[in-house]
Amino acid sequence: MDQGKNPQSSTVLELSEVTRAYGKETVLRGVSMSVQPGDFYVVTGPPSSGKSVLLRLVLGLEEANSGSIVIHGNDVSSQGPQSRNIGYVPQSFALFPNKTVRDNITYPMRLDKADKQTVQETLDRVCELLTIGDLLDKRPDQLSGGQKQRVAIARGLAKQTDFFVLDDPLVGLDFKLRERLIDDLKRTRSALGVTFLYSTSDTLESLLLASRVGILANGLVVEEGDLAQVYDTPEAAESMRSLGFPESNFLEGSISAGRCSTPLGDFGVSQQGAEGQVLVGLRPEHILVGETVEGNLSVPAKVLFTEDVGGSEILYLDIDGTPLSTVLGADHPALEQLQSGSTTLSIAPESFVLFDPKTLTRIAQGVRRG
Amino acid sequence: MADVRLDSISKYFGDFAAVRPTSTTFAEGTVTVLLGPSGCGKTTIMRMIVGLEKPTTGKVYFGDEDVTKLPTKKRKIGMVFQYPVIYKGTSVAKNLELPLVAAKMPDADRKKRVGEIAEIIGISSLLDTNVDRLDNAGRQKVAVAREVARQPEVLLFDEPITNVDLTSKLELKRALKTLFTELQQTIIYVTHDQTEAMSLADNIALMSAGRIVQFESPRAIYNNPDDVFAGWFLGSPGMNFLQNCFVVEGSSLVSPLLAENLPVSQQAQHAVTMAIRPEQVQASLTEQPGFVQANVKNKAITIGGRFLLDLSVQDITFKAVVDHGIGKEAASSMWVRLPERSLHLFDAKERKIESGLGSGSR
Repeated sequence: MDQGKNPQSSTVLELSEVTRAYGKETVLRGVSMSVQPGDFYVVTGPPSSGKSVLLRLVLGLEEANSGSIVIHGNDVSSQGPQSRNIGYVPQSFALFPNKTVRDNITYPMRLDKADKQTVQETLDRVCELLTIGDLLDKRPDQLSGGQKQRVAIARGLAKQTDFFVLDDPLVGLDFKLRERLIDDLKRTRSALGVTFLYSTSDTLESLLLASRVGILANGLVVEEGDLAQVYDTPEAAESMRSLGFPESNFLEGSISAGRCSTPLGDFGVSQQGAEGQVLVGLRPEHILVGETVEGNLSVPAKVLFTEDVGGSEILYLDIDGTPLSTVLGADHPALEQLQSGSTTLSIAPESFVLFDPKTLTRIAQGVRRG
Repeated sequence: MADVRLDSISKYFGDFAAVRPTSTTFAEGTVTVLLGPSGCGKTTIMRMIVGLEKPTTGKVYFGDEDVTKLPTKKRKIGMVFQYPVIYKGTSVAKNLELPLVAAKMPDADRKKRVGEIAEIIGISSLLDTNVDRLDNAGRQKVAVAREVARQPEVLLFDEPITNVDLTSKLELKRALKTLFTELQQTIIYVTHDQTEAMSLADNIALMSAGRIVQFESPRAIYNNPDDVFAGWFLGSPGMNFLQNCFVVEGSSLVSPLLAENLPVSQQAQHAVTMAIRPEQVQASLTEQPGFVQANVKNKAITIGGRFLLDLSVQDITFKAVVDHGIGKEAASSMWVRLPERSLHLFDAKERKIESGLGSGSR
């Protein structure tokens, strides 16, 4: 697989204990994270968790109160944006209305006094990647929404550098357009062999784009790692919540004498000695519908509503007042039998992930009866 | 209650065809969703049904009655818009009752109907609440309930759940689904959101560039699109459209994507595009009969934890949605099968070809 990595190059970006407060309001409480060459690194987390602030600190548009920001081995914490040489695709795209697409894209390079040949080569490359070569002589008001967005992304990417910051560039775009731009962005990163640091609070966008993720919550990166690893073994409850569509189910549980009881039933716990209240996470896709499996919890459920999302159906269920969601492939045989409004769920004990209710970090998972 | 019939209606703004000549029927007691991207003409069709836009040609019928020249207020319709229309400063119950009072409905009947509708849409406990205290989703429920309570012949919804947050969106969608199931009213619903359309519609009228390109149940369109647009627009991601990767030799479809040649109809000679939905590509980590080897170019996670893979066979690239376990383990290459029954062929005009594929196998 093409990960575009160059084994000889060093860490692209390293943040250590970075803080940022506005007056009494602390937004970042000590963020540490590292971005490696060729990463499509997605910073995600709830809205207003400080993602944009984090990116502005990396870009040098704001200064951190404390901590260090190191780019390609150089501590740039106290340097301005110019010395950092980062390409930037901002959230809102202001194109110059009176300039052609060509001039819009090349303007920042000409400001940087790039030579003519470099400008032309860079222009050709980004235009090919974003398929906007036939728009070069048009003005923004002659473009569709999607075309404008691609031009704006092209302008951000038309820079002689190997590190780009993209601040939620697809927010508010319609579904089909986003689908296309997600492909464009991945292909572009890989073709240029560069590194992307990207922010979004959209779950599906994070999952579709990221090679690595950093989960920002309560002013901290609570977890970072390869996408599939964080998805499969989240160490923080927020990671489990932020990564996954439909969103994971969270239940209250309590551990006593090595067993955890929840509204869905009780099961053994992997960690000896854990006691008391826990937050229990359960991914929708780990809930089986219309099957019985030996050793699984068997739970009768009421079907409230099904939502057809094309290739899959999301089921919204009620278990004696506890809401639960699950997801099935659109061709799943159980869907035929749901008209009656009730069904039986089967859940493997090891699908339950147990988090400390205070620190929201993982303490154990469910296990089968010994 | 009545059906709604469009007889060759069109709408031109100068040379621009917002709606090309269209004849269709929205059946009595069913939910039809007009679905399509912005600018496809769906809102213009709705505006002509409502009477806010005069058709350039053609007629609109409610049942047997030609309403083309009737002003909006004389058409027996109820409308719900993107932003809830409510009577501020009064209770939810008052909001629901006002049109019924104006129609001089007897008190007992009125109370009964308001109670029933409020129950179905889930606002019974809010009847005495001042509407000013409700959030957007709550207000929209009130607006819906009021229009429903009037029992118009036709109910029209124009993107009614676009302007609410995600949680409320789901709640409203659920309320509407319950309502639509219980009511069996003639409902026409405009949206650009395919999930809404797939979840709420009895039938989808899928629109593109001023035309209804397909009018069928959501599953029928999804599984068997009449043209390339329908296959692309529904689904996330939409179908893979593959060109220059197959030939039809006599009555056989031959492609490096297929382990064996497939029998096809005579019409298949005209095929220029072969298509398959990403989730219908079968995948295996080990070699299997009937499967071909594919390179894995890219991996991502999608709905329900499944993996969305970018694959290639020779220089043909396509997407596949596979189970989590397979996607996670997949390294640089794997094996795939494009099942015959999941393959679609389209001609140079992007229209479906009756390919005969899948007729012999299930």
